[in-house]
Amino acid sequence: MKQRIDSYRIQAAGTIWEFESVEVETDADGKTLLRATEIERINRSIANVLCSEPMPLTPEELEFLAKIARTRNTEIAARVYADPSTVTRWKEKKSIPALESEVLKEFFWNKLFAVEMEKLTKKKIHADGPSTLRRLGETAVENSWAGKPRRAA
Amino acid sequence: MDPLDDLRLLYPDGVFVEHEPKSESYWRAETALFGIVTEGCAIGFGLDLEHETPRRILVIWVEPLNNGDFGEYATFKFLEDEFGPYRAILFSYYDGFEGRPGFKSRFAAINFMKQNYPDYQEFKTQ
Repeated sequence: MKQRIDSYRIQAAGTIWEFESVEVETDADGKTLLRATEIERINRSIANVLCSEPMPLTPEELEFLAKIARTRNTEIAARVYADPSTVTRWKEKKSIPALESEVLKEFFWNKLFAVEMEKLTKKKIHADGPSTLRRLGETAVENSWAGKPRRAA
Repeated sequence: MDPLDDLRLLYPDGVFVEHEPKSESYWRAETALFGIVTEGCAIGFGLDLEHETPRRILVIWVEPLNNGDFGEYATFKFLEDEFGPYRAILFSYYDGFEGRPGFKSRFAAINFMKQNYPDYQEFKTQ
């Protein structure tokens, strides 16, 4: 049985998030099930918020982004010209420097969302020319992230 | 045929994570779900005979992303009709956190499965 929950709380990236609308199902055994499409939407929405916020990433947030983007420490380290052991230390509750954090946010955002943006913009180039590119991209991406999560109080 | 093919064909519309009890491990399973489906390898299978229609069970282990980390161990059950599986549900997940067992190697994950679920069969790779 499908059910839409208006205020759904989930725990991820070291904090509790509240989603305005999440669809869950109840199976014959009375267990609550969350569909992978909904899980992906939730994870990507959280990632988008984390990559857009001005504060440096916390170790839990870095771990979360690395996990959903399936990124190894060596790849993260190469991106900020650091040693993989430094990334391990960041993940083990050490703070992440602000500059490296900004670089990593951009890196993860590109890894998770840039292909979508590229598809959207290419489609629009073909149809209407470049002048409306940005507006369509922003609108489409905005719509796909409708109901942005917020950190629960 | 890769035993994960059924799961990959069902992803994402037909794949679910069981959410009871609401524990931290289920939240982590949700974060890891994409990686489990795309990068996991089958280590065992079984049959849940407690239902009217027996349900196939697939045990998956995912190699850790980084040296020294724990891998992920996940168990799915398949709901099937006359046309084949239509739903896969992740109902068990271990990653070494929250006091749960963790496995750094495929061998360790298989040993855990054999000891705790003697009814399950090991999936032997060619």
